[in-house]
Amino acid sequence: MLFHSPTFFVFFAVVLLLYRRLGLAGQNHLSLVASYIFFGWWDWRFLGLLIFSTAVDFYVAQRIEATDEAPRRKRWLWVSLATNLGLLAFFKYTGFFVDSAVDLLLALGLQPHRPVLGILLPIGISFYTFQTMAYTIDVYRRHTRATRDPVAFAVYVAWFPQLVAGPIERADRLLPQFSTRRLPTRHQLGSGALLMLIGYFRKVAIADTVAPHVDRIFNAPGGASSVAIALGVVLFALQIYGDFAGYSDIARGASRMLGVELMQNFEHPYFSTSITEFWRRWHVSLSSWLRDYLYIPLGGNRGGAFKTYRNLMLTMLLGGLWHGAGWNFVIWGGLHGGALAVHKRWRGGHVPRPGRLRLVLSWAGTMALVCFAWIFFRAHTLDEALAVLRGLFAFTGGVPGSMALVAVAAVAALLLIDVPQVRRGEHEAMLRWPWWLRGAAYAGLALATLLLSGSPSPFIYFQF
Amino acid sequence: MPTAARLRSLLRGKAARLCLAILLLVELGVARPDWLWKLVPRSGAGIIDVLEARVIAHADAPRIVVLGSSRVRDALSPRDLERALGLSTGAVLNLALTSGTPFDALTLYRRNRATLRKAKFLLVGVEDWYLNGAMVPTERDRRFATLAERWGDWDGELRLSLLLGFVWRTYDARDVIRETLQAVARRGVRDVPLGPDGRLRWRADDPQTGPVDVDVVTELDGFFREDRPGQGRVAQLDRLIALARADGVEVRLLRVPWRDAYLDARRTRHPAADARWRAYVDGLSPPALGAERASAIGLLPTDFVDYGHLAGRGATLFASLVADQVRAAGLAP
Repeated sequence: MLFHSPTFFVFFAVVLLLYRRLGLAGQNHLSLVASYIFFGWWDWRFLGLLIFSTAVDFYVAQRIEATDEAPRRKRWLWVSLATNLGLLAFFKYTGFFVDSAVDLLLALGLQPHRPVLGILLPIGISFYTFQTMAYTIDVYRRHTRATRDPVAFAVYVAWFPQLVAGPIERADRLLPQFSTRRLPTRHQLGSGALLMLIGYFRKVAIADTVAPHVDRIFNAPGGASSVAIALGVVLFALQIYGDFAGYSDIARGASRMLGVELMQNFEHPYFSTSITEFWRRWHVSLSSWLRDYLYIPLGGNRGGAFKTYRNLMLTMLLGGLWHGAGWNFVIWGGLHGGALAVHKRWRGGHVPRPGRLRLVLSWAGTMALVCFAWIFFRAHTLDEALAVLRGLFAFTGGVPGSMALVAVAAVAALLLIDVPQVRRGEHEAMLRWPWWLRGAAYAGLALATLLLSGSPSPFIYFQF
Repeated sequence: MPTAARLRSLLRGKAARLCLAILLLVELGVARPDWLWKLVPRSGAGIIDVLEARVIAHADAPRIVVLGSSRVRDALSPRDLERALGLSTGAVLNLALTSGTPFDALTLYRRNRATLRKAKFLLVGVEDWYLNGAMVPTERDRRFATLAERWGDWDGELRLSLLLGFVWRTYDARDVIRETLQAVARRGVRDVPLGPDGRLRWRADDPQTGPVDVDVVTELDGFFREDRPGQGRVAQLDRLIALARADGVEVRLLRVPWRDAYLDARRTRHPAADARWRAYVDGLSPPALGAERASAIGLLPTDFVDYGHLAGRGATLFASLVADQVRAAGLAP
């Protein structure tokens, strides 16, 4: 069930109308049933997997909290990690590891048999396994208490607005919200609806509009000039931002309308003037997850410069692999890891106060790096990425007028939404506009979204 | 305060009211009136008005009316069929159109019943993708379908989408509004001229032959990337047959050949869709006219401009085959 499909509107309207009439227990039961319907709409067979992961972590957290013996607590933690990472490894990475092993043997001159596996990737598995693992680790670290309410915990894992593509929420933030009756205020309903509208606009008017141009470039880079390829890469940067930030806005808006606040997943990342800042603004729930559960346990920036760079690199490589089972994602993570390490080294612990020119150059350099790395992210294979790079560095000119027009329009649309938010420092900045401007802006956003919508296309991050 | 009441209180805000007023203005001023839908002749919705104004309005007493998709439009030149059957000029009307479906055939027949009922028979093309229930509705579905048709001919997400469009016409009209705005931006509405053989001239050129090899997979996957059984188009075809028979007009179904490569690719890439089509065609009684495999009726790959649209030479051959079949079936006017 896609957020921008008529089915979701009906589904959400029904949930919204029933929700308020219920008490705490009723709200949680309704939330759980609704979340499972939402998830099962894609493929009900994977519902068992979600319930299994929920049950394991609910039980494991209880066992961890029930004892003070460190080895026992650690053993139970390993049960959770092995279960969740095992599910992830089997469903997401089996094919990748088998293919890589076969390729390696072929490179060594052997003739291995390449098995046909055909394992389907359950939607949202990367997100909910990370969310349940975070809960169990937090209980293990005594950062949060294990909940005794299985329904509230199941809702925490399966909360439909953020189930399939995040934000990856922490238990100490989300779980308490399911332990009290939610009474969405007028402001929550209004600002939630506005967030959803902005999210739809980002997805439909920006991401889906530029998508055909990006596809054309990446499907046949050989037929495009270097300038067109460069523009295609920039358009992909806009597409993935519009797509994922749009999803996150809709998720936050829908959740807020049900009285549950989700974390901010994007903080205008394309306004960053360094790669470090970019990662504080892009997919915040994942980057903070990686920081807290991977980078810091690896040693973080304790233990000297070399270990810091190594930890940064390892974290980003695994972050890349989290996105997809392919070497192109590993390279994407590696590029970011390398850039973060270089930036850390170059900055040397001092935050410079840049002048305007330096700020512009820093922004341009950051965006160039981010866009360059997107090539590996967007390409389906390493060969495809290399073909795009060959075209890019052939230094040929010429760009289709329609593509340039779409790029200008997409950037303008993005600025229209983001600039007021950045200036006001809040995502609901539009609520502070005069009523006549707000009314016209709401109608404009709604009509632009409607007119540019075709058949609903899935969100890019659903594949992860 | 219950949620519904809170939502109502939200709408009492000045900004929300202005937003609703603008949306209502677009709904009542643009999406609901008919003028918008017929403004762009080359649009999916506007082409119906072009056919009616340019072809049907000038038809005196058609004897055979051809309906269907663009493949049918390109495959049967009215003049070729008239010559092959010894009929006078104007006896054959070809009203097939791009992405034409049984619903379009039904719509054209319903709207122009007084003229079209004079025909001896309707020749209605059938396509494999008519049996794919995941194919999205066309602009014509959104313009003309009644509430009962939106409910009955569609299921799942598409039914919901059409029901939403019935209530909120701006949703239905979004493609048409976009096409209109694009036409305005181009500072001109391109017309669809009438060709010398009485068909709309969709292409600028009129090739006699086509390339040897073409990519058939892109089109094929476009038809069946999402695929599930659907009987809505068949139901529309049944309603057309019932309506025409009530007027004493016979209806015969027509298969237009595809390139062999397309059929081979369909069998291997989309076996379920292929099997569904086979079962449908084998179950037709009386059997459909025309043919399916190009090589079976002596057509060459170069007789097609693409995966299944016939070029001039192929169309002439096909018209003579159809004429023979019409005579053999005792349908010749």
